Amino acid sequence: MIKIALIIATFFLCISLLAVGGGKAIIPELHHEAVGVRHWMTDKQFVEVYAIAQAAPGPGMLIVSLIGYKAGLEYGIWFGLICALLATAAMFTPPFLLCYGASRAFKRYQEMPWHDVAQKAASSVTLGLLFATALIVARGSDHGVAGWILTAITACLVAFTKVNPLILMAAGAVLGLLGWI
Amino acid sequence: MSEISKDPVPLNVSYMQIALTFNQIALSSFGGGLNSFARIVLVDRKAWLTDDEFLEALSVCQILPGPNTVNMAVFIGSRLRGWRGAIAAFFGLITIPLIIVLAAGVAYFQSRDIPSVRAALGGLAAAAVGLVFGMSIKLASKHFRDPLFVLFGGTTFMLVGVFRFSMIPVLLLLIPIAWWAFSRRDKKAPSA
Repeated sequence: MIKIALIIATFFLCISLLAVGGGKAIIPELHHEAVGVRHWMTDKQFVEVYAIAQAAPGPGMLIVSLIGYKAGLEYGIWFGLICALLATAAMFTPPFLLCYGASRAFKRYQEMPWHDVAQKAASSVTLGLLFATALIVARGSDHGVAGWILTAITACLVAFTKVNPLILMAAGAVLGLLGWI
Repeated sequence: MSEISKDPVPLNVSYMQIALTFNQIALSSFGGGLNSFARIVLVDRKAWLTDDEFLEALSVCQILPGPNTVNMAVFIGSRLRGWRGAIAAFFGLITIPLIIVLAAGVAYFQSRDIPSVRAALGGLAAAAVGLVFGMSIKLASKHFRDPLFVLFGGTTFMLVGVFRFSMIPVLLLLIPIAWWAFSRRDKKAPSA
């Protein structure tokens, strides 16, 4: 039990500092660790947990809470919840401190001469990570032709319109419930 | 509108107000559309920040690690009321969503073998996969013509997505090279 708690704390502490360009960039690494290295969950569970965190309000990064929960779940729901809180605290504390420090240090962002270049370098790599995320969650989901059509429609609507993604996710859940996916 | 946003930051914002405002922002945002709504609340409605200050906060928060939304809350909370303001904003943003996600997660792992739950989750996951594809395309569309973006984005995608390398060594290798390449090019053409 203590070993799992320690693994969770150190892993999420480290990875939180690598979440450049927002949280989604670390999804491939979360998948690598939770599914590939630690076997906390299956490929399919990862995708479904990802979908839940996206569908819920607030930061999508709360997927780390669910990964922590599942990692602790083998010792019961309460230990799962403790691990969920541990993962969340480990994930959010380092960015909190850094950001607080930055808000004190830089009264105006022009004081950071390297800001522009840093943002470009980070966002070019982040874009690659976003596409890697898309590939990984697509591989983990094992839906049929109807599912892929829904995936394609959602992708187009999100990319080219301003429709609220929540509506699309709700529609997906309803279509699934009706047995169409 | 512009006159309102020129007002200095009011100093009488309470911690509770900060927490409730960020809670409202969090609960009104699904699937990542948070920043535009955050701007409406913080700049237009509350006038806690000007448009320029908001943009400034956003760009600092985007290069710091961590979820942008959480960074924004911490940054703005700290500007308003120091470290206590940052904590109020952070917990305001995170508490209710965390409870919702955990409740959903507990229910999910207890009931995922019920056929109707499984079916609904299948549909939800199909839409979520589409969501991340769509978002990637939307964000990338601004940069498709920039060869350096294509080079570093493409290399990262191949290494992490296709060949499944761990992200940490890939980032440690590529970010310094990307930094060097961008700074070299931008020095030649500062307008880029």
